[in-house]
Amino acid sequence: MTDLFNPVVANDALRAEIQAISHRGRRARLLRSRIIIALCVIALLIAVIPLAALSWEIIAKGLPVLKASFFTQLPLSPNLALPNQTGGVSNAIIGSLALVFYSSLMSVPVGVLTGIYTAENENRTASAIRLMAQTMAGAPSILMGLFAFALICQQLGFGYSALAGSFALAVLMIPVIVVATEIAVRNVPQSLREAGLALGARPHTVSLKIVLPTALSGIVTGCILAISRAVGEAAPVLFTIGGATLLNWKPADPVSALPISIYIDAKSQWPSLRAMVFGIALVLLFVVFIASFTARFLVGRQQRKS
Amino acid sequence: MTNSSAQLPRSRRFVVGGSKSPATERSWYSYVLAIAWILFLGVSALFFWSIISKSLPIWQKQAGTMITGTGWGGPYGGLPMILGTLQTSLLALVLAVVVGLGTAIAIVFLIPARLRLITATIVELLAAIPSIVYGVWGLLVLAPWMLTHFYPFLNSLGLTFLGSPDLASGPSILLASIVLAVMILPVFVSITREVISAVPQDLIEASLSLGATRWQVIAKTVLPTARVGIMGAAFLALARATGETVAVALTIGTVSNVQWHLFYPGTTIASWIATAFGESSSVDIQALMALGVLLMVISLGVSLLSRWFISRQRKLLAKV
Repeated sequence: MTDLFNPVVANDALRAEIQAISHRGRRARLLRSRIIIALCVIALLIAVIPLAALSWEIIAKGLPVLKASFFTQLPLSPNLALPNQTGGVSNAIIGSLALVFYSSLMSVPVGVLTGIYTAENENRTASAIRLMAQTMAGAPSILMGLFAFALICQQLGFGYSALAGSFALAVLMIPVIVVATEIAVRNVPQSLREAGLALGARPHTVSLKIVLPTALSGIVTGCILAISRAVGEAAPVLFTIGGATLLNWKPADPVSALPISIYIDAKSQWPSLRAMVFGIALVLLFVVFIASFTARFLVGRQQRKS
Repeated sequence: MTNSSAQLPRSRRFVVGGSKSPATERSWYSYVLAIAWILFLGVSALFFWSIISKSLPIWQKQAGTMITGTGWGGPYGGLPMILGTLQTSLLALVLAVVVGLGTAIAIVFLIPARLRLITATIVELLAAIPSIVYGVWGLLVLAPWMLTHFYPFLNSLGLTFLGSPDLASGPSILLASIVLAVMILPVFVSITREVISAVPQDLIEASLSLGATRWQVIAKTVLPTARVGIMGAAFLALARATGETVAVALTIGTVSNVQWHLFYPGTTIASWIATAFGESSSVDIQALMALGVLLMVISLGVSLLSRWFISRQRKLLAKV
């Protein structure tokens, strides 16, 4: 044992010296610490200001716009005689619903099954899929629009259509669903699988009747998040759906979408159209927040279960 | 009990050393899975191939001008878009990192535990807001306010090289950068928060026991340990910023010239594709596809870097 570990041998003078060293600059250090901590809290407040400002503006300016006609009428263009004639966005609502429906139809089966494959296989194909899913998830959404335009509109000759737009959205959604499904399936305890196999069930029976139901809420959460992203995305559908002022919904028809209505009306010269933009934005925010809370609720329920 | 178990029917599948093990057995199910992943890989490969092949004529004819030229029409020059993308996303990144680092530290270490969950939820809700909503907010709410208050304020600080508020008109590079910063802030904060809270408690307590103040613990123990992961978060946010389209298209003004005065309009690759596409001829579209390839390279490069940083942070923490 050295003296270092045995402070009893230190005399009072030495002890005072040690104390002096440890207190040296303590006040200054504390002051500096408190100033910087205050700065961090200020940063937190600065980060929250945009959310508060944004939600306040959108709600305050959006609510007055949301009348029954907003949801049921087709858009009208204002003119000098009727500067406040804006109509509604029923075409965009129908269009967005159609786009979400078709894109889910394309992306959910492919995404979920691919996710199950990567979760249950540990080979080169699975890691290639994983790498591709991560790469595609990071690709800018405007590129999905370029892709769908080149492939569906031009190559396959569908032109501007709901099909092209929902294809672009599906390309955007699939990687999200693949990653979420893989995580959900991996979280299913191995013992459940082994119990099924021990009872003589075939692998696909185990996968379909044991693993999938257990992972279902995780998979549904992933799909909800993917859909809520697709609803709000404007870039992939900007030059693929064509935009229609009619109640179109068939796959081959040009359709409109809520984000596109926002994009076009926000640049309009008419104050009445610019005011309507806040209403559409409020509808989008509402849909996205509902989806986000549902996903959160499902995740919470799943965690409580396991 | 022993009797009944002896009477169990003997199944082929339970024979030890049977020719087919359950894991490799081919069933209709494995074919369904194979169809799904082949579709996924096929579409993804087609995604890269079709954008690259559509832009090939441009790369063969004028690859140099595409990267260093400035005009759009005769020869196609992408320099204003490339520089604009770098300008806006780097400026947005600086703003987001300064505010986001403080926010993440405050969420993890400083605010009461009860508030922590609420703040984290709010930050994640911010990430879920569609980018078009940010764009609308930037164009219709933030732009008029910046024109009348923020630009003159910056000028009065002596930052006159940014431009003059009298010549500015709402959309500008600075506005787009600020909107982008608000958009990428949640991405940066949520990953930084995770990385910081993964720093082992032992290290923090060891630092505290040596008499370090709270700031010293953060600056000398937490941040150095989390450094690589924070870099990853920053690059992920940067990748998001470079690829952002509609929010920037609404707020930057999309004017194709190299612009260093941040009060004036500029353009980025993504927003230029979005705005120019409407009135494009088929050759224009080839050039836009070439811009798309550039965007792909930039943003996939940045997001690969970010993934590399984040996985290195995981390995680093596994060692500690």
